[in-house]
Amino acid sequence: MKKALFSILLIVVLLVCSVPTMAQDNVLHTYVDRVFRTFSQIIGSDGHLFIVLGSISEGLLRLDENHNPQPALAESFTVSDDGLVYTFTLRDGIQWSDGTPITAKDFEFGWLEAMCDQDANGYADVIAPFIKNGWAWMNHEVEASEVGVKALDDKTFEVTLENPCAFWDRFITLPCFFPLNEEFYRAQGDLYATSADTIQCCGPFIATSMDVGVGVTMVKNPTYWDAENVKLDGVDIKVITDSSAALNAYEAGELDRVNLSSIDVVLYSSDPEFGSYSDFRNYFVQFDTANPEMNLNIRKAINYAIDRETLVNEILMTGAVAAGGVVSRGIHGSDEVTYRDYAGDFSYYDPELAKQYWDAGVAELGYTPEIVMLTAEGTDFDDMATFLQDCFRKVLGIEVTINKMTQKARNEIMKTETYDFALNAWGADYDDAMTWLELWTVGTPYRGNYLNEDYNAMIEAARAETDPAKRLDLLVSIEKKLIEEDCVVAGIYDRGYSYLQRPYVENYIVHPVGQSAEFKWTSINK
Amino acid sequence: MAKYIGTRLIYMVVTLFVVVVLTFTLMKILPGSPFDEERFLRLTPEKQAEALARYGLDQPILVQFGKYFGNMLKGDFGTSFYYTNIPVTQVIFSRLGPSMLIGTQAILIGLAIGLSLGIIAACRHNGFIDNFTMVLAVLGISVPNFVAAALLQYYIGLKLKWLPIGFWKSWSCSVLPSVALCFSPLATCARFIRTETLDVLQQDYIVTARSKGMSQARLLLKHTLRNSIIPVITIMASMVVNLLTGSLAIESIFSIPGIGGLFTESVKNNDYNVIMGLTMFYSLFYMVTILIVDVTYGLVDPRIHIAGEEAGE
Repeated sequence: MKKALFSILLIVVLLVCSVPTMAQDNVLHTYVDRVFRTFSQIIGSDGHLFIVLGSISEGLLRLDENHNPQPALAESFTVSDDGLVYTFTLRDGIQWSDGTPITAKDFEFGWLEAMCDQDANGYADVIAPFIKNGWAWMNHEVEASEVGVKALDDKTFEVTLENPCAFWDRFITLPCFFPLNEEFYRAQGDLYATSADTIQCCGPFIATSMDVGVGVTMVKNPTYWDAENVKLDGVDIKVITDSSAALNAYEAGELDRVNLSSIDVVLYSSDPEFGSYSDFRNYFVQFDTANPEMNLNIRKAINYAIDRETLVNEILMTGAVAAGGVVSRGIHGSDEVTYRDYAGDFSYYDPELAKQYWDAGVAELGYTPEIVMLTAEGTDFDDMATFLQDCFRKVLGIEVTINKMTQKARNEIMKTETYDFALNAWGADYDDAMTWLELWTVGTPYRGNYLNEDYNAMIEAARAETDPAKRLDLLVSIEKKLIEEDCVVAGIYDRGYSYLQRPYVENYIVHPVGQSAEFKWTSINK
Repeated sequence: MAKYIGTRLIYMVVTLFVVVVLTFTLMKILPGSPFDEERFLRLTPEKQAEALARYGLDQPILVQFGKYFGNMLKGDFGTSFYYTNIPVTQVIFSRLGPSMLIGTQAILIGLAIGLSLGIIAACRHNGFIDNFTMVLAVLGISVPNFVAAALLQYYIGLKLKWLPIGFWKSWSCSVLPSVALCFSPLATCARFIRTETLDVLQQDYIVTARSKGMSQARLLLKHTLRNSIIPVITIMASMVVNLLTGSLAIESIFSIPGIGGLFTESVKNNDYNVIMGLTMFYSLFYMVTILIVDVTYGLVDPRIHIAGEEAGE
C-alpha cells in the first residue's frame, strides 16, 4: 500500500519536475515525414535524404534560391563547343570534415561508384546513360578508365557526356554527384553512412548524429569554404511521420516549420505564417494500352473528363496545381519561358469533348465497358480517387469502381494482369521534361505496356539535338504524342505543399526537384 | 523442475521452426518484390537477374528457405532491403530499446496503480474508491490508447508544457507515451485484483485471521494479495508481450523510433529479412514470457504443480 502510494507520488513528482528541453537559439528545427532508408549518397534516391546530404556535403555546383546552379566546390567550369566535355576547376583549400583535402579524384571515384551501384535502388540507371560509357560501366562491360569521368590533376575534373545535355549544370547538384573519398569509403565497408561517425562531411554543416528513425542533427562546418555566409549554428531534422504530431510540435515551439494536411489548411490558411508552393511530382492516370476495352476514344474521354481545377482548389487545397500533362508546370523550358507555358496544356477539362469521345469509344466497342480504377494506399491517392469517381459519374454518366490496395499489391496487378487504368505518380529526377517523357520508352506494365517505335525515335532525336530551341520543340511534340495523340497517360496535378513557418526564419529555400530544402543561407532572426 | 524447463525448451524450438516455415511461406505469397519495381523494370534483364541473384531471390523457394535457415543457425539473419544493406539484427535492436523502455514503464505504472486501486476498491467495497476504480477500469479498457495519447500530448505536452510532446531525446520523452500505454494494463489489473480480493476476503482463513486480531495491512499483503494475484499473472504474459513489442499508434503519435512501426513498415515494403527476424523475435519473446509465467505460478502458489508431478494433497 505504502509502496503503491509512493510510486504514484513519485510519478507525479517526475511529471511536474521534468521540463522539456527548449529550442536553442540559432538552430533550425525542422522535420521530414518519413524514415530514412539510408544516408548513403550512393544508394539513396529519396528527396528527404537529399536535404540531409545537401546540408552536410556538396557537389561541384549548388542551386541558389531561384533554382539556378552556382559554383560550389568547383569555382568555375568550361564546356566544349560540342557541349560534350565539361572541365571543372576545384576551389583551393577545400577539405573534408576530418581535414583530408578534397581532390578531383574524390569526384571521379564518387561518380564511378554512383554509376556502378549494384542495387536496383539508387540513381545508377538515371545518371549512367548521360555519361560517356556510363551505361556500359554500370553493366560491367568497360574499365573505369574508359568512362567519361577523369581527374586530370588534383584540381581539375573532366566529364565527357554521351550526348549534349541541356540541364547538365542543374542535374549535377544531386547528391549522387557529390565527391566521395575512396580510402574513407573503403575503410568503412558496410558501415559507411550508417552513423555520423562513418560519413565524411564537406558541406555547410557537419552531422553530429544520424539515425534513420530519429533524425539528424548537425552543426555549422567551420572549415566550409563559404562558412561566412552560413548563418545558422546548426540544424536539427527530426523524423515525424504523423502529420498532427508535427503540427503539435510546431504549436509547442519544437519546430520552426511544418507542412499542413488538407484538413488543417482550412484552419490555417489566413494565418500570417501560412504559405504554399508546388513541386515537380506529377500525379497521372496511367492507361493500359494493351487492354482492348480501353480504346483510344475511351482514354481520351477520361483525359478530358477530369475537372482538375476543382480537385486542386477544393479537395486537395495544399497548394497543388492542375497539371497540363505529365510534365510539371514549373519545369525549365528556355531562359525566357517554362516548358508548360511554351507547350500549352494537353490534359485539360472539357466535359463536352469528353462525352463525345466517350460515345465514340462505346460505339466502337459495341457496349459500355465497366471500368476499374486501380489505386494505392495513401491519402493523396484516396482523395483523388473518390473525386475522379464523382467526375466520371457527372461528365460521362458512368460508375467507375475503385480498387484500392497496397502499393506492392497494385504493382503486382499492373504487372501480371490487364487493367483499365491506375493512378500513379512520378517525381522529377532533374529539371527537364525528359525526366518524365523517357519513362514511356521501355514498355513496362507500369507505363501502360506502351512501346511505340515512333515515340522512341522522337526521344532519341531529342537526346541528340544540340540546339536548345529545336530540342524544346521536339520535347513538346513528344508529350503531345503521348497524351493528345496516343493518350497513354492523362496528367492530373502537380503536388503541392502548404506550410506554416515562424516569422523569424528567413531564406528557408525549397527546390521543386532533388534537394527539396536548402539551409545553407537560412537564418534565424529572433 | 529442470526436466520440466528442458521439455518446454524443446517444445519452443519445435514451435519456432513451425513459425519460421509458416512466416517464410506467407511472406513469399505477399504480392510484389522488395525492390522499387518501377525503377527495377527499367533495368536490362541482365541487371535485373544480377540484382535478384545478389539477394538469392532467383532460386526456387525451397532453396531460398534452406539457405535462410542455414544462415539463421549461424546467427546471420541477413540484411534489410528497405534500410539498404543494414544487418537485420542491427535494424531490430536499434528500434527495440525505445519500445522496451516505454513498455516496461507502462507495465510498472499500470501494475503499481492497478494493484493499489484494486485492493483499496475491494476493501472499500461499494464505496467511492470502488466506484471510481470501476469507472476507471471501464474507461481504461474501452478508450483506445491512441486517444489517450492524443489527449495527453495536447494537454500535458502542448498546453501545459510539462513534458515534451514527443521525439526521442531524453528520458522525459518517454513519460507521456508510457502513461498513454499504461491505462489498459492498469484497468485490467485493477479489475482482476478487485474481484479476486473480494472473493478471497470472504474465505474462511481470512475471517479466522481477522478474528485472531491480525492487522489489516498484514492480512492484505501476506494472505490476500498472494492469492488474488494469480489471475493477474495469467494475463501478464500477453500484456508484457503486447506492450514490449511496441505500439504502432503510440510510436507514430509521439514520433518514437520503435519496433511496432518497423513491423508494419517491413510488411508494406516486402522487407523479407526484417519480417522474418521480427516474427522470430516476437515468437521467441512470447514463448519465453509464457515459460516464465508458468514457473512463477509455482513460486506464488505452491498448490500449483507445474512439473506435472502427482498432486501432493
